[in-house]
Amino acid sequence: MKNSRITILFIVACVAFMFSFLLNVSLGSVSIYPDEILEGLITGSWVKTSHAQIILNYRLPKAVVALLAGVGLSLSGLQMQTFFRNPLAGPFVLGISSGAGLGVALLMLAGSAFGISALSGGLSAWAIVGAGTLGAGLVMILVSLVAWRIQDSMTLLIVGLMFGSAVSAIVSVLSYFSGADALKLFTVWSMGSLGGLAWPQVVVLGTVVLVGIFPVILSVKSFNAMLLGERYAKSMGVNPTFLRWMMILSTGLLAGSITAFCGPIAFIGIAVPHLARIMWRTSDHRILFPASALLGAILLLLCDVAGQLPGSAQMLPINAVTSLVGAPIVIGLVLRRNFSKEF
Amino acid sequence: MKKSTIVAKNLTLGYATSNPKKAVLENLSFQLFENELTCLLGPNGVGKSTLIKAILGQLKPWSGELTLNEKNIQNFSNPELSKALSVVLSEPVLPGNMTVGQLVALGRIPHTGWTGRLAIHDRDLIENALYLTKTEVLKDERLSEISDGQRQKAMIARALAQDGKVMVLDEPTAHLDLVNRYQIMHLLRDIATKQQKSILVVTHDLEIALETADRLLLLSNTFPLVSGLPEDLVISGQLDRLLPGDEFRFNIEKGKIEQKNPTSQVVIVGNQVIGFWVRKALEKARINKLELPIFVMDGDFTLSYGAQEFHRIGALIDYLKITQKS
Amino acid sequence: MKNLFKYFLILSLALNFFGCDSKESSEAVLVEKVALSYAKGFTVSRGDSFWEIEVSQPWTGSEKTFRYLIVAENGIIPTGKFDAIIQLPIAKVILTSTTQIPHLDLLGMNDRLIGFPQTDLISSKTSRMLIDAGKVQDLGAGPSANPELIIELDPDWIMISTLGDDLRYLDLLKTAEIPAVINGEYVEQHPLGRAEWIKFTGILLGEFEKASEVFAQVEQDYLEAAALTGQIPEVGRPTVLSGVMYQDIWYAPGSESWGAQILKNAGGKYVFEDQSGTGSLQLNYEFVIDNAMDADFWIGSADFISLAEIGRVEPRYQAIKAYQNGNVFTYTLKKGETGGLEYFELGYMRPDLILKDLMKILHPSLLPDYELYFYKQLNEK
Repeated sequence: MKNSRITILFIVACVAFMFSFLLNVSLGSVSIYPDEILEGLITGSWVKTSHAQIILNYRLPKAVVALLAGVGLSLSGLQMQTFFRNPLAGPFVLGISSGAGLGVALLMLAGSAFGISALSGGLSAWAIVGAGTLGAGLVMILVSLVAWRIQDSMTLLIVGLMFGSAVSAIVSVLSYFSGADALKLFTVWSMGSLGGLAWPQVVVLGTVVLVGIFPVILSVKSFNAMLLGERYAKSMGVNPTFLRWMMILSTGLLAGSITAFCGPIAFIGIAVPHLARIMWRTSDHRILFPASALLGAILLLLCDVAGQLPGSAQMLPINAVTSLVGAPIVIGLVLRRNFSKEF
Repeated sequence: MKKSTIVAKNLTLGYATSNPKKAVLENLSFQLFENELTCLLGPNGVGKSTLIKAILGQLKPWSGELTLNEKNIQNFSNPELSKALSVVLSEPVLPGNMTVGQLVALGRIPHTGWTGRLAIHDRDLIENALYLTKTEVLKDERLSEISDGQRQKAMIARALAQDGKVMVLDEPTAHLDLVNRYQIMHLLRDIATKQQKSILVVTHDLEIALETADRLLLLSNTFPLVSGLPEDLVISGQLDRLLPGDEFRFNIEKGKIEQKNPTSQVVIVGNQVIGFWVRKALEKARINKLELPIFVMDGDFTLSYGAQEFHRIGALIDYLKITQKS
Repeated sequence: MKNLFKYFLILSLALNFFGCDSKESSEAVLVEKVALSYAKGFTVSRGDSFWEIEVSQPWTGSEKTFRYLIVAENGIIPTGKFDAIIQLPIAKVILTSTTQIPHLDLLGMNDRLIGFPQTDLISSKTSRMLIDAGKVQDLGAGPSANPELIIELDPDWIMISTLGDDLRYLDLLKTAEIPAVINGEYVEQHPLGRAEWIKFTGILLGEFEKASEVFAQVEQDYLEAAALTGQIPEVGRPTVLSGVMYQDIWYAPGSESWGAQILKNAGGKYVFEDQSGTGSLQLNYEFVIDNAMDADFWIGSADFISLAEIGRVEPRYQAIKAYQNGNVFTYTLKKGETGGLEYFELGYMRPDLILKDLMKILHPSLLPDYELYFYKQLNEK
């Protein structure tokens, strides 16, 4: 009886995912009908070349990025929540995405802040990605050093949060001293953006995300054991220390790369695992991991559709949409009677 | 000849960071056997947790030997140890969303492949564990919705499903009500004998331990470890080692702990079984001396003192309190 | 002439030796540099039926150079790597900054404009007529113009600048085969250097000659006016304060910036002339009060509408002598129908008007018949 519920939910989720993906590619500022899209994708003939350009080089890469980011962030968030046994943990608690922000801030703001000419690093997408990756990598190394010395997971969590704060403080100082133009660009970056990545970049992002998912797949059983806490997990043959490393590696790759390519994207990592728990009514990670991945992709694809404000020339930054959608979800979750018991 | 599972020889345990470097436990030797329920008792701080940690492989002995199935516990890899030994700890379990069935299935983790998929054999063991702990009806209930006693039984079922030769339980009945405490200890005894497991329970519940255990291990600060049949320890008076000091002792006849120096000089005539309880009530009311004896009459339960007759001990006490004042 | 011939010979020999790839032209390619008078951010070369533009300063401190090729109708495309290749004639363009609008206006080619982000910002009357007629698609108000609409409109070229976030879609536009050119006029600090960028747009539209004429006129007007103040000694120059304060920090143009240079040419003495820099200065309030409290004029005070408003918003402004004397001027005299300030649109292209405005304020006797164009004096209320 229960198994069939789970299977049905998965089928529904898969269908919803395909629907969201199609919806995302179909809706935008320019009106292009779905039948034209399908015909173009399959036969290669389009009504207008501009439509082919828009779909193939703008909307499709954007949809794939939404898919990758949705999957990566929710898987990362789920790991954090289970390992730290904290319902408010998310992909950014180890400070890794703040590190990415620091890298980008140094690239965009430091020149202007120190009186060197602004934008001296150039604004190419690869430069931004590179800077973000360096920053994320640096924080990841620092967190790893701490993780190596500290046994207690709660301590690690707090240290990670403090790293995030410290890095944000540095970014604040840079922002304070930098010129208006550079600051505006950095602010725009920190609002997140799924579009504007060309296929070569999407491929790189996809590769890194896949590599980041790998440790998750290998440790799915261990996460189930971690539900009872570290002592019980150890008694069942699981090595929490090894799991911790896997988790830092996975989150570093997932949250770090997604933030480096797309800027910080809020709420998906925190809200989606809870949604998966509630909908599938299980704590079994063999179900939760794929369920969260699917839900994360669906949610981000739909948020992107909303952010595109279809039919109008304006667009909303993705962070605004995910926050507007995510905050009520988290509030609703916390207000449920059984929240603290159920987690 | 019973097969021994855990054997300790001249075991000395301590913590590396303690200052000064003093051992917590020294020169312990004992054995745990198959088919037996052993209870470990001792005052707080004597080192029970330390011993448990060593058995779970989390603490390296300073000297001496600690083996499981004739292999030094330190030589077990964590996965190997998890197949031989399972635990039930006293800390609360959190995931309220999990069902009892899923919880028990977690016990199979040491035995399943990397996906955690359950084979027929695994499912059988899970079913068996649920059956033995009488928790089958709870299989689909969520942990947040069952009672504490039921939850503890589910945790035992999980440890059972892990199918190790040895089960170690750290104060499993600490927060449970009376009925649950008895039920669980009897359940553990059942499992030990019928499933041929070696079960070690750390507990403070002396009376239930005496009821159900095949063996007691007594740790004390002042005497070396004592191990043996509970009844032997009672008769030899070694049980009193749990009660250092002058205040309390173990009453062999009654099988309970009582104050050492009975101060009562009251004479009670009649049924001595009932008389025991009357005397106890008088002692608590601080009535230790009476001019007249008290007569206990069976049948229609009557206590008579002097010319008065009472049908409840409480009534007698009330009367004596009033009259003794003057 | 002789040199040219030698050059031709060497080039054709060289090309024959090294060979050419893909593009068929094995003909000798004669390229002649076209000199620019003040602009440092781009260089121009012309060939037989094509133009080459190299933008070396697309943004401040850039180390990257962009090369653009503009080919005349039926012209032969020379070999070489270009960031954008534009084929004349031009029918549809997209601009992304109001400073680029006057280029179209002055070349009489407004009708080429088919898209612009946030069209409300445009003040030019001719452009507004087109916008009202629905000929110009609004491309959104965000940091970058809407990429889907750009592709859909399929312009012959799109001009972007690095003041917005349009650079992020450069790759996308390239894949969609829409030539994107970067206009770096804001990097120029010489007042005429910025105006000279009309030649940049001119070439892109195939109207270099017309653009040169327009520029020559602006140059002449500017130099003539500047000559009037050239003789004024330091002592006779009124002191001028510029900028506004936010919280504790006063933001003003650096002494080498475009604005400060015009001020100097107008016969003013900039109070911050010791603060070098081409961007925006951040000075603390104490320093400003110390050095500039007694400035004769306060010119360029953002878009406050009256002295009363200034005093209310920031009481510390009241210490400034120019404020007390009512000698506060700002550039809000001319506004477009939909609220855009003409100063921001036309300013780069007509430094001569700004110059004359400043001269009218600082030395009214020099230009008796001239009326202020951009600037107005703030009233009490």
